Amino acid sequence: MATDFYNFIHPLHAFLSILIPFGFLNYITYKLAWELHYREFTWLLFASTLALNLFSFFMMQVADTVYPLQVLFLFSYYSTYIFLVMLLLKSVEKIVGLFMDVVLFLRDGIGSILFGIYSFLILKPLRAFNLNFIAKFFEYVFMGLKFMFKLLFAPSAQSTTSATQTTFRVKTFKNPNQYASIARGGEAHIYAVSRKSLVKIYKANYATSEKLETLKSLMGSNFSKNIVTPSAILNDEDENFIGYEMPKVKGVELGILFLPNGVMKNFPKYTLIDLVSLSLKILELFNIVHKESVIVGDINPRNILVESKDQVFLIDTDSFQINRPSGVGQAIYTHPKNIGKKYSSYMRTISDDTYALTMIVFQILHYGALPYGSSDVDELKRGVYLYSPNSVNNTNVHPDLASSHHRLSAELKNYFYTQFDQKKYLPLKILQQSLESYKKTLLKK
Amino acid sequence: MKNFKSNKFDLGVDSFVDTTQKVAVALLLDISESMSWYGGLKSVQEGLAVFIKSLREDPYAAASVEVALYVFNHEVKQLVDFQSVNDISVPKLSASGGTQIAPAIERVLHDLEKKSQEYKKQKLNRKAPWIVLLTDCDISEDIDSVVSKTTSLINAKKLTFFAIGTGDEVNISQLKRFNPKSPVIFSPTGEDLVPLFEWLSQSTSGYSQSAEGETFKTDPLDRRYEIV
Repeated sequence: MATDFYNFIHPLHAFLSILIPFGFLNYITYKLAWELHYREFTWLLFASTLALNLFSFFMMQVADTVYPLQVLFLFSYYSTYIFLVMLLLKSVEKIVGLFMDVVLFLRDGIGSILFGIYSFLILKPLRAFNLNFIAKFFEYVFMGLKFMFKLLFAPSAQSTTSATQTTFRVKTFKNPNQYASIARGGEAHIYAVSRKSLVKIYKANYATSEKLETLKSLMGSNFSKNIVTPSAILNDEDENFIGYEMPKVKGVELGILFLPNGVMKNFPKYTLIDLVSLSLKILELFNIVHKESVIVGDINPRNILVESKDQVFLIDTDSFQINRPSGVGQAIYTHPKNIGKKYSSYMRTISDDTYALTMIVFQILHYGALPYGSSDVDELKRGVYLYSPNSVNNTNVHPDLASSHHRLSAELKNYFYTQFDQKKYLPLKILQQSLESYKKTLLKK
Repeated sequence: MKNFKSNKFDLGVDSFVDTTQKVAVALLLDISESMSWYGGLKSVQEGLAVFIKSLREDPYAAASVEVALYVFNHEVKQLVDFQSVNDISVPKLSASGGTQIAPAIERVLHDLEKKSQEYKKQKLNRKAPWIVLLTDCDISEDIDSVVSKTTSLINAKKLTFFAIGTGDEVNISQLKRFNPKSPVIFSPTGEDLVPLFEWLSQSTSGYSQSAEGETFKTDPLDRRYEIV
């Protein structure tokens, strides 16, 4: 009986054992073809693999021997068909990056391990078939593990270096002027293309290959939905890179809250405690980026959108410092030691981001006021702190500002004093802790 | 937490403190007879409306910038005192008379100094004010004393001076003396000044939001204007 079975299954598995290495080859070929934008070729490959799969399934049916492991093995192949359905539904382009990885990982990674075990345990006779299955078995297991390791443990933060391994969504974009322009800056225009998405179209000199690389790194990253990263690269009809698409998020720019009565106009119910919560939320937002060892660089209150004290978004992420200087910045939010330097001439460090964030938290708690007497670049560099406990400069401070400073906790005041007066730069963690304990005291009142 | 409202200091968000940096912009426009000859004044009128409108559309600039409007022929008149762009309505301009440029600039400098003291008293942050001068005259009068005033202010970074010359009679080299550091913008036809005013408002916006001494980006000026 057993002999019958082995004899029967023999040619089928010989066939499948050839298919498996092809699976790996296919995976690599798909990826390569997709990356190189040979889209039609990618689909062609897919179709041919499908045909092979269907054929092998047909063989199984004819053989009339469906064993549990075979089912499992085939099941991993079925994920390919799901992919095909998605393709037909035309939504495939949207999910292709993710799906390619998941489907092919399942199929080729797990599939090969299972098949390796399967052939080792069950297909003993095949060893006699001169295919050297033990060697193959370890080869498959090793390849499978390598795939799994790569897909599971290659951290997305290192997308800075692994950008080329990810699949990007690229769209052709025509006539931006047909859409409502919602913002125009020195480098780019932003248009609303739909209820859910915006596009940023660079001015001619700013659509550089460096920018494109940064965008690709951002697309390969996985920060949080509150960090608004590109959802597609935009090319014009001649395939020249012109900008990117991003999801539209709600909220007012933090800078608007710094204008006269800004908080009152936008969040009339907010009290001091809400401003402390907002500050904490903003620090949390930047923590997400810093955790991935990325420096934001151009931190300013117009790049932070506030929907509520519990929901904030970081926009303009295309200026993140990824592998090269961010190139932009504002003097007020620049570490004094770097004021006057060209933003494109140096790499910022965590201390630059810390300085900017401390400035922003200071402003949130002081109606948008700066800690210094003016925003003159020389003054910012010198930085005579107006709120120093032992300074005469206090006479220059509006009484409402003085009292809003006075009410802060000693811990917080000390943090600001250390940074803005003593020019000693403490880690953000301490600011966060000070805000948290201040919030607790306010809650108790 | 509602009882915080009873204590102003605890609440701290209901009181009105203006922490924006103030920029006073004085527009000084020539309304001498010659401005009406080639449709120049009509174009200035349109440009002015666009200037105010686009500043209004930028909430940051609208909070920072205060605009005053001066017109001059043989005498100078202040049509609009320094106020937020949100409150300004653009008056109708009409051309007549000759041109006397020196007293007009003297007057504006005087008013800007007064405004600056006012900001200081209110403990408001302020940036160097702007003068935007638009004229088509050939400047035959003696301007030495006013030139020395503007140049010393500009050198001390206490003033930004934009000179715009229009028409074919304007004396660019004289105009340039007010601010030797920056070029004069020249519109040979004197018509279609709208893009120029749009560019000016963009520059004003950028300037009002940057730190003093910091450079800011603007679109390049339209090709129809010459920079001399």
